[in-house]
Amino acid sequence: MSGEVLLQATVQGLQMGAIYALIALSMTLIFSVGGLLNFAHGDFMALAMYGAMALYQAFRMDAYAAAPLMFFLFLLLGFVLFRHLVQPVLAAGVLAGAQLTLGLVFIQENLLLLLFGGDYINVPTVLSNRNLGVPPLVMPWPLLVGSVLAAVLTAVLYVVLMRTDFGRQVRAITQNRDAAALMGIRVGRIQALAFGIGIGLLGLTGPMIVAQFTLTPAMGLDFTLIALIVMVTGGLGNFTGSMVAGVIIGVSESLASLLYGGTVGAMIPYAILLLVLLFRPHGLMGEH
Amino acid sequence: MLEVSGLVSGYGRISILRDVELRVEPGELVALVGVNGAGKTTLMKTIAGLVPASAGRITFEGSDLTGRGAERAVDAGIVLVPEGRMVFPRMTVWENLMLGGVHPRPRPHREAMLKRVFDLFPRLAERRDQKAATMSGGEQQMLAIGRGLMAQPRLLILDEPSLGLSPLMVQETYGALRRLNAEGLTILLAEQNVKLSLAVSGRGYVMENGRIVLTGASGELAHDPATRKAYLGRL
Repeated sequence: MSGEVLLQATVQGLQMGAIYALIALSMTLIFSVGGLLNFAHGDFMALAMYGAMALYQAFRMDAYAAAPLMFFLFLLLGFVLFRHLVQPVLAAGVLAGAQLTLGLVFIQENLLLLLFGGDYINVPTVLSNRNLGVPPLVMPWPLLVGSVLAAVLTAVLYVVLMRTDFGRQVRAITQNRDAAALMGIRVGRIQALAFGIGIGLLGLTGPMIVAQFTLTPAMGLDFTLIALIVMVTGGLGNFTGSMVAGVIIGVSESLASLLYGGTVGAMIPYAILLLVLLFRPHGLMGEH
Repeated sequence: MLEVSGLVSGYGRISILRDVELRVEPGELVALVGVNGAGKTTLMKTIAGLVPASAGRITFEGSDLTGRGAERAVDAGIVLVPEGRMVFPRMTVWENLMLGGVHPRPRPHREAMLKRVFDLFPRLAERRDQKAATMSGGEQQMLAIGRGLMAQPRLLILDEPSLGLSPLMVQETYGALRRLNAEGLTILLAEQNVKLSLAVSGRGYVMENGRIVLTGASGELAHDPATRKAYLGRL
């Protein structure tokens, strides 16, 4: 095994890790404001990918051009969904909220099946099948662009959460909802905005990485699982933890796939989750 | 300034407050005393809009605040420093204070208020970048009061500010409240510590089983044998 191959696998792992981190961070954002575990997380991203595909088939619009559009659409979708569906159900308890998102999984998957059929679909983009060679590395352009964007978005979201009034209000609600209300913070509105941004980020990310995936209606589950694993590994509700865990899991998975084959690689996220839960039950950065 | 009349409120179907009447005039420091479970916290939370009233009225400077929620109460200038302090544990002192003034009304004046809070509690200025959870109970109480002041209250309500504090910290906290009141801030204070709260306040209310059972000048209340015997236990 040469050093060049290891380097290649590490870089690819970092790239996947950046994407994992972003998906998990948006899930953490949604979790943090109301304790809602969004089991439909990956399905929202799948929906965005199918949206990009539909735009391509109808208008030959490239997925990269569709991404900003999908961001605003999904931001709005998330905001409205929260106000009219999630918030009333969440008022009945966190468990009811989780059941609701499970219901959304079935609705979205079957909607996709109904609209687009069960066939595997590839969405061609301007970057599909192109590679960037930086000897000794060869990087597929779609992965490079997707991961750089994910890293930038993750950084922006992190700064917004840590350094702005909006972010402080989100964290305040996470840490003590009643106290936040006493400051005059409009808890419901901040929650709806946070949920909207979480879903909006999926709307943006889906089309940006669509060239890397073959679309099928049930594909969302894989994203949901990886987001859950990353979020729990990092520490439930901890933004920094989600970022760190995303990168760790991405790199480990990529290296293990290279060294021991894809089957072992696919087990790695679960193995890391198990190990972390054994030795640090609150996650890498979880506090309690 | 604040007028509470016929107030009934509680949690779910259980009413805690029964027909509560209470007034606070501008510039006053009013104490609300009573044993644990008398309904003081529920009354404070209802006034601050955190618990909905099921009957009665809360008016503040002429406008009706009944059932309008916490955001509206802060907008009007009613700020509650809650029991148990409820500071944001994983945020710094500075972040906590910024959140105190995050409402659109006080937001433009945050820097000026921050300076006043740091003048009042120099300890908070020293601990500016420290996480709230790592501070002592007394420091957290200062932070909770400072955070409340950041919202530029016209009426500051405090629920059990002496709870769990060392005698020295209690003195310091009450010293700050006296100073704030002397500077013109109207204060409503709920306390189990009857002796202390009646000593600093001008008027007082005695609460028992969700009702106001006695009211009057604090000095008289403190020495009223009926008060003492019936409701206060030790004094």
